[in-house]
Amino acid sequence: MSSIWTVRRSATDHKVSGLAGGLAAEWNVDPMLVRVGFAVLALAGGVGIVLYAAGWLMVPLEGKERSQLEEWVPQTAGWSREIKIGIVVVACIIGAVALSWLVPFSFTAALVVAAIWYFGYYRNRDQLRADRDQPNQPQLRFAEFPGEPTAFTEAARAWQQRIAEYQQAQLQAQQVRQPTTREPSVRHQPASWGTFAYAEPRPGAATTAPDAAPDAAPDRDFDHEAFLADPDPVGLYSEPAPDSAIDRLTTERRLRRRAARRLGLVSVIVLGLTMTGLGVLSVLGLPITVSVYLSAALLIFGITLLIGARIGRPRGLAFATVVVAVATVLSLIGQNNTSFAGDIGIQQRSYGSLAQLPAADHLRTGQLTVDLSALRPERSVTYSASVDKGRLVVDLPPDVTTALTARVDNGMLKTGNDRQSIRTGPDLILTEPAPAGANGPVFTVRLSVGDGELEVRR
Amino acid sequence: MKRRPDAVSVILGLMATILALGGLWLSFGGSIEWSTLRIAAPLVLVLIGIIGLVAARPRS
Repeated sequence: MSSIWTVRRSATDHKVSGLAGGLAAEWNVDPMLVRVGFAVLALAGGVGIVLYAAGWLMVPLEGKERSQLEEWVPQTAGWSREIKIGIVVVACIIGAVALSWLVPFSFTAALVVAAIWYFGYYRNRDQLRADRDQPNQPQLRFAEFPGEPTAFTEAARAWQQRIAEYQQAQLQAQQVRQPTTREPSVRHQPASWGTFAYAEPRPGAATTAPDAAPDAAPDRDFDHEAFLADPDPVGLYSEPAPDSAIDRLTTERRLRRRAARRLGLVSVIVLGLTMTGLGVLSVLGLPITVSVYLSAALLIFGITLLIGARIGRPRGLAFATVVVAVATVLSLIGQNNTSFAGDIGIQQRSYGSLAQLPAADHLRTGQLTVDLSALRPERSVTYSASVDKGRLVVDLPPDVTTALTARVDNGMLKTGNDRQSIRTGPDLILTEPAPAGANGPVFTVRLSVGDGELEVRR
Repeated sequence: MKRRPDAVSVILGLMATILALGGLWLSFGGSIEWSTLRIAAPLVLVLIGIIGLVAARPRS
């Protein structure tokens, strides 16, 4: 059966890695069309670039069994298809986000390419395969063993040679018979060898007809019996003894698969009950956010995986876990970006009394807004606020004697709305001491921004 | 014959469980100090990796 998992990168028809050539050969279309498709996809959010890179890494080269990725990281050979698909999907999303500013088209172009592929190839794939596998033009395609020759490979080669000779004789006999009969010779091939004549039998290809009468048998130089006269030319084959270890392994694998399926069903039931419970709590008024749902689901998946490590992992669970984990992280970032206290995010502080006022506030990256407008200090006090990278906005209290020091290492300093109050550049320093002779407490404010913007509002 | 645990499931399961517990903690009002997280997260990853290596070690 044709599938994306059986595609091989072309070793002969290649511009970069042979992926387009391999796909074109698999789909029986012009390689240029595939290359244009990749180019258009590359302009559609960069998806084509990610898909091509994934194909180059994950699709083996023609004549090889292992992909580039499996050669570099042999541990990936055991990854399931779901994991690989999940990685590619996540990479496409990340690539689209990263390259969206660079590439001109939206995902509409990708949809157009997908539609062309579906209506142009997928719906007509049987016809295309039938065109490729013309019964009158049989193609001998034998798998080549790339390693050192052994007795087994020599036996296989001898069989291949015999099959080739036999088929050549068939073709010659057909050419002789053609004026009298239009029946293609392949239809008369006996079932006993016909299935071996093609390295990859395809659904659209002319199949052997076991019950077909060998009406042209008298014309042949090689008949069925002669062909099978010596079925073991090298003398290798002997009936293998039943292996109890294999039977035991098969039984164990079947049991493990069954246990994994049961575990999956149990986890689905637990997931459903948990979601129902959270929904009921939400209806009762508890603040159950999306991240709670996702985290709960992720917890169930994680525990199921840990149990499945011993008794068998349910199919698709790893993929679902990765997807839910990504969704959980995204929801947490969106919902709790102020929870990384004191370092990252958009934070707002408001102080109305000296009891609330800390000595200093600091934010590493992001925006810090400090509202001091309601503050009425009864005594002299000093307050500092700083942002390493980002924006600092401070509302100073009116009618309070204030000594202000503001410093921006690189960026913008804004102390009012008129143009003179806006300064940009490196090493911006503003010092406003308390008015001379002022009575009462002095509120000393020291503000600093590393790279970014500092705005003082009065 | 006693089977060795599936290393991928162990690693993924541990990471998912830890992430889920952290997510629930944050969702119910907890906070995570960045200074703590930047030390703890790599250490947890190292620990999970070691557990995975132990789980995947060949048995003689």
